[in-house]
Amino acid sequence: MKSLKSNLKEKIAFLKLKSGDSEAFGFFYDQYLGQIYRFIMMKVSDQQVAEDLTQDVFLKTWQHLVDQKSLSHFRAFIFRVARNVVIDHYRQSGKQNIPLEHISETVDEAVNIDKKLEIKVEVEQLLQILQKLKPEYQEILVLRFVEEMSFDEIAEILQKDKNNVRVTLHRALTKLKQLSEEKI
Amino acid sequence: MSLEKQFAKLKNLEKFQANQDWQMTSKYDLMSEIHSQARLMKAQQLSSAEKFDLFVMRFTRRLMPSVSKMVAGLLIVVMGSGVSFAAQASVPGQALWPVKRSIEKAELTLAFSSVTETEVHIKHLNKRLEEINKIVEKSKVTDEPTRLAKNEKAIKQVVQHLEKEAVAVDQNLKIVKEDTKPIEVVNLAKKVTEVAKEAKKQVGVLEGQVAQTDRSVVLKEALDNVKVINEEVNRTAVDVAIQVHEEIVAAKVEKVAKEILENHFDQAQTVIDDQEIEDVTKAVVELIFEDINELNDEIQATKEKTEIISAENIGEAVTKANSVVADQELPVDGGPAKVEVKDIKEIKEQSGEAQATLEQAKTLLEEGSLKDAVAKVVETKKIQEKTATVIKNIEQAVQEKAVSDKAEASATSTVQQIKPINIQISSTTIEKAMINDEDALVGEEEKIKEEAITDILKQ
Repeated sequence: MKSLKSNLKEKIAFLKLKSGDSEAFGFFYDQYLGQIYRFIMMKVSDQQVAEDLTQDVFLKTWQHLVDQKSLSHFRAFIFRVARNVVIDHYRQSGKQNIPLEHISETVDEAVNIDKKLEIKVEVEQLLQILQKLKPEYQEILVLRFVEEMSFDEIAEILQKDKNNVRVTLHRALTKLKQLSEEKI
Repeated sequence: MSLEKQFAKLKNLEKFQANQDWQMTSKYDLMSEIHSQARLMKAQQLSSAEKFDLFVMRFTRRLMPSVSKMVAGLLIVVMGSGVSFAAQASVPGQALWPVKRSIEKAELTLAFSSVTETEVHIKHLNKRLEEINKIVEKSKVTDEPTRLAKNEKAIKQVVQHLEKEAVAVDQNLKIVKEDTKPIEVVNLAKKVTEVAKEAKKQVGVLEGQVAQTDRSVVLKEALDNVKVINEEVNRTAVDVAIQVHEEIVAAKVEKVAKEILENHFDQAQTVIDDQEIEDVTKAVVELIFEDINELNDEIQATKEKTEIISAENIGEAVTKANSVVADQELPVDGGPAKVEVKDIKEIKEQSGEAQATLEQAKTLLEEGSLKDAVAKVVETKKIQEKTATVIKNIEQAVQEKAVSDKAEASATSTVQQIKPINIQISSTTIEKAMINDEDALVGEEEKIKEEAITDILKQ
């Protein structure tokens, strides 16, 4: 959890960034480089590719600011860019299908998914199971539990409805649990 | 184990952490890439609502209580002025030093604008210099090893704090540049360069004192560090001033173009802008001029020294000194300096080169190319620095030779002993010559400065 002070610091930097301060962009770079790299690395599993794509993400974000387009939430925005950059990468290399988007789901499926789920797997095992899930599930689990994002933020990144996010997350968790039980 | 905990572990897996070296190089590449695009963004201004937000947030951040700041504030209120006054004279290692630091922190808390904050940091920077001075003085009068060690520790601490203050000044200048009126930024940059010059002078004097006692490597290192930091701060100040000037001129051009396009050319507003640009230009030109003058004096002093060195055949003495050094097989680092005769020839050429580059800087300044003029000044500084190091080494070698000759107590020592004295005489001569030259130069400088400002404004 971020402290109030660091939150304020980020907000000040964000306002400065919007006025075109490149030094403020340096602040965001330091703040988010680790998270973006990790997010991409989890998707591509190749250090060189992850480094190239991470740099691409920051350049694209800056370009967006230069073009004077609106930006309301930096973290959600940069993760969205990261996600699109990875999709573009796979599209160009043709290695993997682009994750399925906008599966119609109903709200009533959403249950209390924040409830702690007891799974007896080791970290490496968890990683293997995670990689077996479809990209859409992987992504939502990583955003929720690794990056500790709110449903609002995830919804903004995935460009989905908040309830839709809840349902997908629930499905992803169920699948994860099922696979881990099989593994055990 | 819960899923959350497992995911948290996953987060910290080494393979998902970015390589540190790559982080640094990548940031450098990225920032240089976007810096070139930054100018385009300048056009986009903050909306008034955002400006208000920024103001409120800065205010809140400053008021946000931190234990140290609150304690410091209380200290000022609770303590009698006697203690505070006594604390001002303290140096690291003394009981009142923490009180002094707390008062300084409180001063920072009470600085509400970024300009005042920078000024407070400048004030603290000056205090650190005073402290270094005091410690060097103390080291001169004591031979006791425990005291010397204590002083060395204290000076290390002061230099550390000085570095912090310098970094703060450096960063604050950049913030001030974004926040404040151009003329205020340039005036602040001027103040910073003045402090830097004063510090340079002071360090020069201290270096002389430390060299005489020749007791502490730590003191020498500390002074070298101060010199480097000082130069960096000075450079940032000049760079910021130049950037502000460029931005204000670019903004004016843009504004005039816009007004022409929109067909409502407001004469009154343009006059105010012109006045502002004139003031900023004048201040920046003055700032660069001061730099050039200072450098000119340094080059003249170097030239005089070089002439003395060649006239006194010190080259030969140095070669002899070198052979002594070689015989003793002393390490070069920390041991006597190694100088070759060809170095003396080189410094002659270099001081000529420095003078020529500085002349180019003057010409560029007269033509109104402020940025190019500063680049030439930086170039000259580099050459001058190189020459100064060689001269320092020669002087050191000569002094060492004189000392070793004295130890031998041979008849030839009389000739050798004269040399360091000659160098001393020569420094006095240089000072005299500089004073005479200064009088002659003042009139000419004023004329060039006025011409430069008029030329820039015409452009």
